[in-house]
Amino acid sequence: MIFSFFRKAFLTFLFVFTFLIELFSQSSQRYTVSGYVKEQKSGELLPGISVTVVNKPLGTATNTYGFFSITLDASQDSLILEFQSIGYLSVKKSVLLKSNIALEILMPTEQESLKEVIVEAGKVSHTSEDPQMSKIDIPISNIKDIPALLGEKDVLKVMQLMPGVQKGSEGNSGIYVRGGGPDQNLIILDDAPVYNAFHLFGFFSLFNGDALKSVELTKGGFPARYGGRLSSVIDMNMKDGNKQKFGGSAGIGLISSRLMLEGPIVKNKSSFLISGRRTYIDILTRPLMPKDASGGYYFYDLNAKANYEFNNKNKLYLSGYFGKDKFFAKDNSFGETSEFGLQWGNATGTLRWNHQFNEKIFANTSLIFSNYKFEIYSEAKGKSENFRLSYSSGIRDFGLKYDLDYLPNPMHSIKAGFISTYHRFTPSALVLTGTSDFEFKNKVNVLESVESGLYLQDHFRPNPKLNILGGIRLSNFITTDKVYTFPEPRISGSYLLAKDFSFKASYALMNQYIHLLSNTGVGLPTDLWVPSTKNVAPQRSNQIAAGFARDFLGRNFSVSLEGYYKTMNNAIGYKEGASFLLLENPETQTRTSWENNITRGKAWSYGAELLVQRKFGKLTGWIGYTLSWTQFQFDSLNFGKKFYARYDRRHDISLVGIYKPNDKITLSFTWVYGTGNAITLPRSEYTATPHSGVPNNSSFNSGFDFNSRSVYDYGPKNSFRMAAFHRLDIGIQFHKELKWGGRRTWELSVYNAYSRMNPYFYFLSSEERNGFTEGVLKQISLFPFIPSISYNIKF
Amino acid sequence: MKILNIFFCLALLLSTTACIRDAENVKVTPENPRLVVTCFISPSDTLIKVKVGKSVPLLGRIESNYNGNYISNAQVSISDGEKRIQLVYDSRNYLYSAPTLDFKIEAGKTYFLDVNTPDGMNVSSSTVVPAQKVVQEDILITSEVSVDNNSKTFQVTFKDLPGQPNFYRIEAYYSDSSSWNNTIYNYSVFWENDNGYNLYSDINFEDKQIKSLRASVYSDNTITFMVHHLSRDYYLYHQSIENFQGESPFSEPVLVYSNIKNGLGVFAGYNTTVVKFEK
Repeated sequence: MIFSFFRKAFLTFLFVFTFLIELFSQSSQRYTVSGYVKEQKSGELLPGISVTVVNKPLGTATNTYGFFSITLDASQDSLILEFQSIGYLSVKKSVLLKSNIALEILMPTEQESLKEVIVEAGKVSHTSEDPQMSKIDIPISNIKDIPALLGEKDVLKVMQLMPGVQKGSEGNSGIYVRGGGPDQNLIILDDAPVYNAFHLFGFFSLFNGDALKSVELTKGGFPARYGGRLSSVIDMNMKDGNKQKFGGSAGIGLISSRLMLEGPIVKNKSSFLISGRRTYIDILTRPLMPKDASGGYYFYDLNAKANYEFNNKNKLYLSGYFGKDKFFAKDNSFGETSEFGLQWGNATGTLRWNHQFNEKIFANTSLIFSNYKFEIYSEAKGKSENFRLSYSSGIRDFGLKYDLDYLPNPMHSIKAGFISTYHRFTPSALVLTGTSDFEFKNKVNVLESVESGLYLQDHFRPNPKLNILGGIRLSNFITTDKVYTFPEPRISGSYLLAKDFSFKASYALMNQYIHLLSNTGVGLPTDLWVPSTKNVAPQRSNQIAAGFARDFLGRNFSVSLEGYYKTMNNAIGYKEGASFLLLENPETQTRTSWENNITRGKAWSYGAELLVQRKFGKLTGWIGYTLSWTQFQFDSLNFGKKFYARYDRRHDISLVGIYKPNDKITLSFTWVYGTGNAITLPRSEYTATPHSGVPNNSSFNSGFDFNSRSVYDYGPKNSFRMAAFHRLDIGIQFHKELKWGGRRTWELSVYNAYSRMNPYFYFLSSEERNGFTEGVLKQISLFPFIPSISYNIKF
Repeated sequence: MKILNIFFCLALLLSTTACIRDAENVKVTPENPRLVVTCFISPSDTLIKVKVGKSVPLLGRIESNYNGNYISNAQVSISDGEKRIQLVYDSRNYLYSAPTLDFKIEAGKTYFLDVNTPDGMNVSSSTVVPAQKVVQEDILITSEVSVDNNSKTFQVTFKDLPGQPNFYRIEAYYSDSSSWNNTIYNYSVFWENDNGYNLYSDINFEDKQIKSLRASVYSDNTITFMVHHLSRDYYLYHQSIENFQGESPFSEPVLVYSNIKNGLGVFAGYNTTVVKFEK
């Protein structure tokens, strides 16, 4: 029923819009230039390539699938189209508009012709002309150049270096965008949501960049095509695989090894890509373990993608991600094997079909699967006993997504579509198999819901100076005993004040229907996704942002300054003393137990962000500065008074520099500084005496309860500031072209070069000092000076 | 669960480089001890009682927290805005008291408490005694005899007072002679699944009818039920002590409520209705 409603509404929407657009764009004879932009060497379709008409204020950009379309007035003279993007040489194509033209553009990368490249002014993107604000594209090459902890390249950690994006604690991949928690980020990989993006308790993320084509982060001014989370969208697309020839890369690092292979299945028609990573500390330590007992830890990632091009108008892509973390301990004694372990992992799968209806309309249909499961198990095999006890929790999604791009004329780029996802939440499942006869053989607690969204957006260019990206999203959530439907208006725009200098502003309303219950905020695998219910309303954010963007020195430098103000209603908080380790007594936990443990409140976040970026040349990099405030108010926390969020960060600075003096060496560094987290620490201890109205009680203090308790005075919530955080990482890479055509890279890097002892955790301890017992504040620091080395080869 | 703590520690150990040291680059100012004042007032009490103790700062030199560090030489006074009375120290019970015959506690009135010590610690607070109390006739006590005839299970139901929010606490006791010295004592009744103080907030009851937890009693004596209508201060203070857990990396710290200015503890009013359940 809901589907047919959406379909009808969607078609009506589309029809009315198309009609209006065509009505207003009646004029002289027009023709359309459309086509695809590919990387010359690999045939990889390129998203986000800017397409401009030379000497005319007209332009567009390729979509996620490399498709572009621009409709222009017929003319007698030939026009020149220019295709540009960072990392590629610009391509100019002359066209004579006497009919519709289909093009295939092949972009050579800078590296391929590095020797003769002279950096041309004005060749790349125009931060000042993009109507969308609060958006950051992370070049994949940067991810590989920037030094990383233990040499493990990490997409999310590179994002943390951007203004407005903050890390939680030392070494952690969790992302906090404009005062929002890690649960408020929509992380999508080839259209599939990833529910737990972390390995090893949050120290590494699932994404190392090997298999990725593009990574885009949106912090505000969200286009209507995105929805479902309050604070950010991290949209990642996997590479399709080289359509021309076989190739790949491999790397050996301190804790893991990687291998990526790609190549054509049918040349120019079909290709594949497969990329894997696995840690090997468990394999290295295996010989050292005693014979009757062993244990270890590992994680792995596997990305795979294949595509088939039926013809220029129909393409099919199948992609997937599989990853797992596992801790285990085995014991072989007395003829019995017992094993105990903890494992968690994600699996995602996407089947996409690109269909080009005509030179102006492009569609993509995606079938999406995503699954996250955490399991703690214990099993025994032997003569007497044979059982397996498993406790698990997780979320599983099946989704259908349909997106349409309609490019009627240079003034309008319209996108419309819908997505519908069936979520199956398993907050707890206890399964016992074997001989024993406990009362809970199979106690599975399941919640189901359907989340849908219908959107329409238009990038409207009424005149060369004004760019407007407006849209509306209608979101719907069907859960047990309740249906929520909300419209979400979105608008952002830019106005060109002078050449390369623009003013931008945006507003977005977002609803979040699924919530993450987290005990620690550090990304533990026990963190649990739950749906909105009758009692737990969706979270909502309203955000306005405004700022200036300027490109100068031939667009080699861009500066953007943004201010934002965001409120969040019905934000999820955890009641004081609440714990979400449902493991504590799984047999008594019910749905209501988590509903009772959470509390609803309001959050405010506001601040300013400055980003100065140099995009090309021998020295590239950026300086990011964020000034921000984040406050919460919950009726049942801090006795209803406002308090600063744990990750309220007044100042946050990142400096990133990548220097490539020649094609043999890459030098890089990052320096970060951040105000300390606001935490709650005990100040003093005292005896709290409760009341008792029972007269002549057996208590010796009549009128007071004899069960006095020793309690802590914490002061107001989050009133203690941890020490400020700063750190310098340095890396050097030596590249060499090998005789057989490959390229190898040695990388030496140092994490925390001046070994700053950044606190991870504080605790109080009492020690004998100077003959007295003294209370001392202690800190745990995780990562001092950590050098690492890795070897990578590309072939 | 312990297993998770173990794995968490394991994860920390994995980074074998982790190091523990005195906190640095952070402002750590040792606190001074603060006064901890506790006082509950009600129109039905015969005595106003105030406990005065001291907190023990956890940084710097630590003193013991024996018996709440009670202070015997403080100036403790209570006032209703017009009249003020000085409370006298009772060394047997470690508290300051004054009979309500000398200073009447009235429903609906605001009271002010001031405590000063010779070493210069001054704290103050104020609270309102709830104007209303639950109407005795509105209280229904139901009892059920257990199958083995050994005990009785009680439940209290009463009509919520007008206005919101209203907070309640239900206590019950019976008298019995102690087995070891033959003195008659009052024994508190325990409530099933109660986390501590048997507190109720009418926000959690939709039909304006408050229903208590159940209590099992193994005695045939008369049971006295007390339904206290609480001030917000009383409710929040007891609720926070109930929830207090100490330090745990897996749960949010629980702040203990206080309305004592410059100090800790609570000054709170309540208004009680008594119902006896004869055998």
